[in-house]
Amino acid sequence: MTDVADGMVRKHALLELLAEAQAQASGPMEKPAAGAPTDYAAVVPAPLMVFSGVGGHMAQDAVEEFAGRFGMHPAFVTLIAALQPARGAYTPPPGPDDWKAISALVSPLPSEADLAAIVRLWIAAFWLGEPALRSRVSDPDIQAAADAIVDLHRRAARGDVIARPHWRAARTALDALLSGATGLEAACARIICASAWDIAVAPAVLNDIVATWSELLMKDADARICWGPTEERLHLDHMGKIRAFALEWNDLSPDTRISPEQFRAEVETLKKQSPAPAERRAEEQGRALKERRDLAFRMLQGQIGLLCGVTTGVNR
Amino acid sequence: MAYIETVTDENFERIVLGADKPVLVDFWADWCGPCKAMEPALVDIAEEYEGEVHICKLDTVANQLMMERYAIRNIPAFLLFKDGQVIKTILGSRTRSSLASEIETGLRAQ
Repeated sequence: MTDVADGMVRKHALLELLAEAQAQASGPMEKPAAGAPTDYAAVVPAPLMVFSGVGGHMAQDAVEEFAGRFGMHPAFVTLIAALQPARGAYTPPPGPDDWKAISALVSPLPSEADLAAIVRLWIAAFWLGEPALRSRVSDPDIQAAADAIVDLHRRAARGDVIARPHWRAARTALDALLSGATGLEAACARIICASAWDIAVAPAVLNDIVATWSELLMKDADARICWGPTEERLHLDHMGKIRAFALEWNDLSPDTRISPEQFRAEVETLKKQSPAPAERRAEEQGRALKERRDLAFRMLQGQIGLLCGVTTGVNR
Repeated sequence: MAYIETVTDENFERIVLGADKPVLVDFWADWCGPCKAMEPALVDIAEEYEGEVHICKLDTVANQLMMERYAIRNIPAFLLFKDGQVIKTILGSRTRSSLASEIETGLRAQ
């Protein structure tokens, strides 16, 4: 792994590129033909594809290449990339605000900034700052074990060399406490457990932190949806009854069974009798999807804000 | 950098089953996005466990025999072997820390 933490951040070149991307995204865009995938290459300057949110462009070699080109630590690049909303073949490309947010992160950086230290301080801020993960954990042992990991990150940010056995010991201590644990507290601590390694050696740890956190938030969102496993089972059971009725009707000869009109009316009546109707299922699933999207957006904006605070603090 | 050894149907017996220390085998394929996404974590895990656990990769497209023998239906899949026996099966993508945790659970259970 190339350590570029002591190198010079070539932020002006990057800011120019980001401004170009922002201008391009602000301009008139041709709507893709129906069914056609988003042409990312047409709207995102090639070096910035690493921040496109498209999985394949965020691979480690792409991160390394970008990091080398702009004199940025791979961990910092990985974190910014991980904080972008996930995009796919048919998702709209990043908009002007996305590029603006990255510019806001890069602008305050001094060219000699230790970006690995910034990332380490971000992890500490994530655990201790507002809204703090730490405050959601009430078990003092779990709290202390997670604190120990965060302490290693803070020491590393100060320039201490943390030997691998220390990371491992801290991780296994927390992991043992979390073994078999479920619920919000455990999930919050698992985010810190996922961070327990030197981010300079393994920048991909940042992806793990963001992924573990997203998982927690999504579970949180799903819990607020009024359609759980019980409703799903009731729905499927009732659909099974309707299916059985339809199969039975189908097996009868036309002269002994009710007319198709009567059959359809009967099916509609049966559907209305469902204790967990399909309409409500579709409605709740739509709400879940929206809730997930909103949460993901708020999560990313919040963390970009937190990271901005850390980078600005470093410049003071 | 720690060494990740490529194993095949032909050398599996010797390198994995005959090893004198635990071996983690990553069943992967070139077309599998999640398998590729886990590569950096695996490289790093290989460094962390150097001397304790030998890390290997098996391309499931080219080595169908082992895939069938160990009933691998989905990838990525990781099998942890000790003394020629599977002591832990890890299915699907994992974070770096949870993969390490699963390896340790497997080793502790022995």
